[in-house]
Amino acid sequence: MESSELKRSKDSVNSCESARRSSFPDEVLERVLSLLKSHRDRSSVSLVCKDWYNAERWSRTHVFIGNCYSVSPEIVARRFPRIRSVTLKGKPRFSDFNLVPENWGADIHAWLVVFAAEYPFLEELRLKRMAISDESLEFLAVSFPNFKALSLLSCDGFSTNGLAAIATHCKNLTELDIQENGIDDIGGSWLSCFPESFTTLEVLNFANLTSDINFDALEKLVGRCKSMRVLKLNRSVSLEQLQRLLVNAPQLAELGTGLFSQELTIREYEELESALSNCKNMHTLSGLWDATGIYLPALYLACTHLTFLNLSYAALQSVELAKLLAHCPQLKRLWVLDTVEDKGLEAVGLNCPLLEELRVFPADPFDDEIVHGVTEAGFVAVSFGCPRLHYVLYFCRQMTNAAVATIVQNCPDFTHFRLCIMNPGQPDYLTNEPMDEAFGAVVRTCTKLQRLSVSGLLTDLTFEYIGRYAKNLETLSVAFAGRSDWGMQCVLGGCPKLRKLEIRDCPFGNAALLSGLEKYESMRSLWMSACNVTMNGCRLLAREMPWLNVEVMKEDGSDDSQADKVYVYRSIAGPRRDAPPSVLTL
Amino acid sequence: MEGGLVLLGGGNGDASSRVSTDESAVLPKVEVVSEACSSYPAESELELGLGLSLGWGGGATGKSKGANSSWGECGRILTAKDFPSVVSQRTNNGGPSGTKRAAESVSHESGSPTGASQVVGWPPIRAYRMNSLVNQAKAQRGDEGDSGIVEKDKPKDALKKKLNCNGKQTTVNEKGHLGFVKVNIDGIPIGRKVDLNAHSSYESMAHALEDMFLRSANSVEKEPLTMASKLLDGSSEFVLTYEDKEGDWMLVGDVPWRMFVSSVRRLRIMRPSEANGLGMKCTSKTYSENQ
Repeated sequence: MESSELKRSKDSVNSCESARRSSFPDEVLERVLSLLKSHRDRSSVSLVCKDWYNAERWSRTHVFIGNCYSVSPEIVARRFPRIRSVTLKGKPRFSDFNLVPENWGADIHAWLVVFAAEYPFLEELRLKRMAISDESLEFLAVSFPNFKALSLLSCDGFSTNGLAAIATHCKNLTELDIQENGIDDIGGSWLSCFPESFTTLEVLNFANLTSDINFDALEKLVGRCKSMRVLKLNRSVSLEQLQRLLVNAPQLAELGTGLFSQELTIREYEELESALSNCKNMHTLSGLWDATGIYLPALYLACTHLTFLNLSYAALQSVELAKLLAHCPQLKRLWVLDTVEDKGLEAVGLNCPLLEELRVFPADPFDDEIVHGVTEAGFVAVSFGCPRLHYVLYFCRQMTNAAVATIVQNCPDFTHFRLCIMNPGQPDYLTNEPMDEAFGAVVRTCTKLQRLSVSGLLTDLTFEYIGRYAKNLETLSVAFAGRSDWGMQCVLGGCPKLRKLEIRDCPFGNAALLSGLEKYESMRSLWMSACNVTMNGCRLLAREMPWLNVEVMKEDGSDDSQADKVYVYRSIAGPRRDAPPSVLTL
Repeated sequence: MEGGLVLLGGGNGDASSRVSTDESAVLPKVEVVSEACSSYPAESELELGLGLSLGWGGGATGKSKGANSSWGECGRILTAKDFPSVVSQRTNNGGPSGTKRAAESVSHESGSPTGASQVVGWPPIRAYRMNSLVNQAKAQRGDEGDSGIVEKDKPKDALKKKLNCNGKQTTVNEKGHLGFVKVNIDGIPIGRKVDLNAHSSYESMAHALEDMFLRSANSVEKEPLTMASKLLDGSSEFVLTYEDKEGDWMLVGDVPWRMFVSSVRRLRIMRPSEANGLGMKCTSKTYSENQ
């Protein structure tokens, strides 16, 4: 719909240039453009001509900023006057794995101050990898009377006191989504801060937190928020308490249980089973901490329409998983721990023909001694049974080139292929060869591939393949791979749609870094750590490319000339002024 | 920048020469001394005083921490960056000898096996998820009233017991139903794994190990299984040993095969000088008796 309307509009604008003011009112154009949701479409639209640029900026209500340092809050506010929803991402992704210094930056406060002045009617704020303090949360809570939705993913710097401020002041809150953050969990009293009169909550996710909450307050809250559709509890909520909540909220579409392990009487078990099966709208299930074989059957009836099952906190065995999956025919997304082993994955292949996404996490990532977990066989089994598979995150301890070739032959539609062979630089365990051919098969066969993470023993050949074949690749993650600068040069020279490149512990040096000069301006960011890049190489890059911010993080005790960690990103806001001493901006 | 640096002889594939050409064209020359720390080839005995700073021919040897500006200094702290080159050395016999450099330096300096567990931020699992796993494991151990013995098996046994509290006995052995055990050979930090379920005798397993460790990867000829394995009859320079359930190190071949499979935790291929105290070497006659 949108594209044909746009085409007509564009034609009419071009054909009556001189008469455009009278024949095509701005309001109409704005109205049309307001129907556009995708921010990429909007970016394209804004480049058509000045009128369209203006119409687009006036009609945009949601702004997505993939790198908070690529632009300043003032610039955003100047361009988009009517924003009601903001999504901001901050730190480089490798900060999730402790590779970024503590006080690196990405603090939300400066943004909030500008928003309070320019967007007093702001409704939604979604942050990923940002630093946010309790003071900022309190400021947010009192500055925006219409505030509705707060989502914090992988953020840090705040405590449950900040949540208390949100609960206390945000009278119109519909969404409070706290996920996987470095939160200082002082206590559960924040939940009791929601006023008695408060009834608008639709999404409540506090699975991240560990301390006990006041169950009575929670029960009352859930009871009076009749529109609640997403409820994700933390570990402290017991099975018996879960049952009581569900009885009052059968309309839930997404449920995250608390601890799924408790001594229950037969009657209590049956009540739980009944409460779960009454959730006819439930399509997403998660939590399930410590779930054991005994109580999983209570879920069976509730799983009929399940499309997303997150078992990544339940160390299930293969038999238990198989029995559960027999009741989940509609499953599209599945996250499990590798305790289910290959046999469990065989059951996935047998029971879940509609599966589109599979993530297998390691239960014991640091134990090299005793081998368990999943192997290439499990992945292959899934690929035979699930031809629609397009998103995979797979942690394993062994893999072969042949297996990967088979997998992509069965599932050619991969958009996200993230394979982590956990031992750095490990070859094909049967042939002893590098894993080059595996990833070669992936990029050759999966033409829609957008995201790729490679692992295992890899020579430059892997990167030749990637550069040559991965035409739609946007994100590439590389670790302990490659032989020379040539590898990285191949990627930078190919991959026309590359946006994010993150590299660690690879023998790529200045020549590689500098071969991507023009490319970096079309990318969001580049990360290189523990490679062979030097300070001089970085300085040169910074000198040649004024629109790039080149930041180097030095490590203690390292040589002065080595650029231990390099983060390069395009920015129209210039070098940032809030970098800590350990981060050098060149 | 480091264009003025002398490159290591015989150690750099095409990539390095390409690199140095680019560099000298683009960057001003810089004091070379400070760059010498980047790589410490083990053939350093021969090549002290030379160093390559960027983009060498092979191996994933990144920068080294704690390295200073002295020429050809070997005393660097090994990081996980060394491992890929070790593996590639074994797999890439015809490859650029640049790979060998790092590999040999690793074998000289490293004593302990290294793997995923010793690298910062690897495997790439979010801190949040790792904390959850740790808390889970702690909770399991706490429940089982662990006496505090720091055996890696314990938490897993506890976990398995807990999961089977419906009374069913599982036959999952300590190695997991895959039957894989880790094998390390002296001098190479990264171990391999062998599937004991795939073998029905010592000879078969020993041949597999020899293929894995002691032959070139490209070798096509395999000795017929009827020939006695060199590892077992003492004619090899190596000795095959294993760690049993109790944590004791024993010579392979002392007990019947089935008993061995049920009690072995991991294998180690040792040099004879280190195998002292493990008892008498067995003859091949003993092996056939025990099968």
